[in-house]
Parts: sequence; C-alpha cells; structure tokens
Amino acid sequence: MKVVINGTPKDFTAPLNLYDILEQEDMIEMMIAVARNNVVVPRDQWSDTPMEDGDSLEILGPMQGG
Amino acid sequence: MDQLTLAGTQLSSRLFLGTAQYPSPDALAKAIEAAQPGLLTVSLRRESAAGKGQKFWEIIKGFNIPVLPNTAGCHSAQEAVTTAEMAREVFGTNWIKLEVIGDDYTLQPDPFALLDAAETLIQKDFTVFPYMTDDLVLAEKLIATGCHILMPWGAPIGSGRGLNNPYALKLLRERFPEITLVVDAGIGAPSHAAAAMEIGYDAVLLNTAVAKAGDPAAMAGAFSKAIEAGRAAYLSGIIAPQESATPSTPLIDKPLWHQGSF
Repeated sequence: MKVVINGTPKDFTAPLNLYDILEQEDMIEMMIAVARNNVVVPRDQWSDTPMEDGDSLEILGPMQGG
Repeated sequence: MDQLTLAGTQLSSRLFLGTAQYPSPDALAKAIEAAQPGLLTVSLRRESAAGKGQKFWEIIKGFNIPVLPNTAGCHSAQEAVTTAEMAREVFGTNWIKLEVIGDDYTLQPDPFALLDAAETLIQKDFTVFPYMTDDLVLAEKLIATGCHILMPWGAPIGSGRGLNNPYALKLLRERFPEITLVVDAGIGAPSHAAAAMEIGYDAVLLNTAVAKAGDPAAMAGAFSKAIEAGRAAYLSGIIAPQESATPSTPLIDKPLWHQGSF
C-alpha cells in the first residue's frame, strides 16, 4: 500500500498500523507528533490506528522558532 | 525584581527569547545563557529519520526553561489549530503562541482567523498567547473569548523598527490592566524593549534582534538588562513630561545669592 509521509509517497506491505509505519521509519523513539489525514493521533493510539492505502501522514518534530 | 506568573507558572525573567536564526547551535546556547529568559519560543517542522529537530531539542531541554511553541507559518484557523494540537503532543504543554498570518508582505496577523482559532483552542483547554496587531477591538474580543494574555506586535516580525504605535500599545495597557501584555515582534534595540516595559508591558518577546546581532550573546545580555531597567522604571513612577524647565539644584543659599537678585 502507498502512504504519503510528509508529502512523499512511500510503499509499505499491508496490513500495518501507525506504530508499525513509524517503527519502520526508525522514528518510534523520537519526540514527534503525527497527524493522519490531518487528524492528530496521540502517541498512545498509534498501535490502534490501522493504516489504509492512500493515507497521508504529517510527522512533526521540534524546530527553532520565534 | 517582581516576578511574572503566567497560568500558574512563575517565570524567572520578563524577557521571552526566540530560538531561530542564530548563526550556530552554539551561538543559540550562549545567547540563552546570557539572556536567562523566562520563556523560550520553539516551533514545529516536518521531522525525518535524520532527527534534525531532536538535536535542537537536546540543546533547549538542558536549560530547563519553559517553552512556548508557536504556530508560525499558518495561514488559516484550521491549520493553526492542527499545528497547536501537534505542538501539544510534541512539547507536552498546552501553552501556544497563536500565529495566523494574514499578509505575506508584512506578516501581519489575520485578526478574524486568529479569533476563530483562539476560540477553538480555548475550548480544547489550551492557554492561548495570541500574536496580534495593536487593535483595541480585537483585544476586547480575544479577552471575551477567554484569552488572559495578549501579545500585540511592536512592528512587523524581524523589522527591528521598535514600537510603531506607542499610543495604541499604551491604550491597550490602560484599558486592560488585568491582562498580561507582551510586546511581540519588531523589536530591534534594547531601548525599544525598555520603552515597552516603561509603559507597563509585562514582558517582551524577541528573536531577530538577538539572533542577527553581531554578537548574539552580548546583545542577549543587553536586552536582559534593558527589560529589567524598563520594568523597574515603570514600578518606580516615571515623571510626567512638561514644557518648561524646573531647576534641579535649589537656588536658596547659592553662592553670592542675595535678596532681590531675581
């Protein structure tokens, strides 16, 4: 299945949940927030969030700001 | 000096410092060290496996200073609300500097989208620090929505112009004595920050003036002193200006003085 991560499409082998995707991306331990199809998914719900073909993920982390 | 308390958190300084645009991570760390700010502003960007943002966070968390995430770059209420929710996830705070840009040339905040987003975020239990223009009616509406902190601009972000409209800023101070007021954006020199404090503002938020200075750490120290001086002056009661001179040295018993000499 195809999942768009921060604007870039990527292929994964289904079935997967959000936790699996982040684990495969090597980001599970990071201080991040994730929105699936523009809806924020709290960290404790990553394992319970099944991914579907065409889903879009926005993965954000800390950055300098004014 | 009297300390500022925001939403139950006592801050060690009335200087709020931005963390962007420094020439290097080391320059950022030295500026924070010199400024000893009460708050550090931070932001959110797309993260990758390289973990660029994680390295930045390692620097910030070592200072143990409260952070204020922003929604910089958002142009709609919906975008700002989603970014705020993600900021809460990342930083573990419900404080948010709400920034919704309405004009790309001046980076002027969009008052209508700002109000919409503030209302939604307050319903979601955020403590909203709205970055706003100095408009009195907008201030009234934000307060009615539940904002206890307002952050009017001094001038456009990064312009270094200082306080473009001191009259409007003073009016906000006079009309809303119970609200925490922070001048945010447009500050260039320490004297601008002192001027904001002298008219009774509770704090000043700045970034570019320090980050782009020739010596960011030295400038951070200068701002820290200016903000402290401005606050002390405000509390001490600044004299009212007048048109005519008043001699500061008493004339009675001056040398060669005699009755009728004036």
